[in-house]
Amino acid sequence: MNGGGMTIESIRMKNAYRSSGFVQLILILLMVAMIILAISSDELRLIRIESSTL
Amino acid sequence: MKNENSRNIYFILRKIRSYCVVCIGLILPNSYIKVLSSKQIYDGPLKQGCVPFLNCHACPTAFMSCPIGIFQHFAAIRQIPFFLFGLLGSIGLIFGRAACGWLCPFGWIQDQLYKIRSKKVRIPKVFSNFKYGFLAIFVFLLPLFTEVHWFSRICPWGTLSAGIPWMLWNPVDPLRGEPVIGPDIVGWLFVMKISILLLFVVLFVMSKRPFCRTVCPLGAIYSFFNRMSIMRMHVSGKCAGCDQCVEICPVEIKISDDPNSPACIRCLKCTICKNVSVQWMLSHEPGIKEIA
Repeated sequence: MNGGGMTIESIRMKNAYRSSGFVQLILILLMVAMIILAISSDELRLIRIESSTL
Repeated sequence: MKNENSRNIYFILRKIRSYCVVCIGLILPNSYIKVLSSKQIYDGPLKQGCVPFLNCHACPTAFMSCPIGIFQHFAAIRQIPFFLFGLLGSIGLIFGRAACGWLCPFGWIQDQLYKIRSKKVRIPKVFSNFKYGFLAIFVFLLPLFTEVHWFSRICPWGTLSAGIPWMLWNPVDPLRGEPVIGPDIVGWLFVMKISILLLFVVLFVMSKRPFCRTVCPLGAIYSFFNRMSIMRMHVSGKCAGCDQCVEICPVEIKISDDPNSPACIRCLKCTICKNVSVQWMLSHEPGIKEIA
């Protein structure tokens, strides 16, 4: 047990889950897809209009 | 040998961090010098992109947009900003909150002001949850229901980098033939903005990064990614608990207790201790302190 009440085994279990990396890669691909979606729509034009006014 | 090479790399990274913030975070996105002759804010194609840190797009020399300003605008027009979610999400998933430590000029200014000799105070940990409230209320909910950019009205970085420069300069707009800042704008709102800025300047001198830790909505967004990012901090089991890392940490966290705390800005200052290192999740085990 450490101070926070977690056993070493539970910490290792969390590590094992987090170390897969697969979920992160999928999420990054999702984010890239969102950027592509935004570029193909007129979202960037809206950003430009908004940020060009005082 | 590998460990020694890593220590050398951390040493170089710690040395170049300030230059990185000033060059990439401060000068590069704010180098529209042509404003001196055009007397108009830049509205070219680069304004379609956002920087991944706080940088007021109303600053006279700004080239790119502020993500928080754009979030508010999209909330006000009731649309989903896919570009921003994608940009901040991908950066957060790879580097966690590193943009706060390596790119944000406002955080760097706070670090510099804290070096002024004065009475120092520690910010209670509970205040660090306030930034989520600012994110939800001032960036999303209030703009959604009132169509007004409320966070921009209180943002001290916006006041410092846009409000004050425009107010001091106040050129005649060549298109309208009138001063950019009309007399109607200099009212209670500007007084409030200046008061908030002054309050924060005092806090910057007395405590470590108070804005980043308690108010910054962008920091709140990035902090969600610290525990799942590919870049991770790691503390070896040899940590003796000397608390040197707490003393040098710009956000006062004890990295040995929680290496990937949502508050960590990945500035790598704590890598001065040989027990702290960076790990990339796709190639190593992530960093939770090993307990023997």
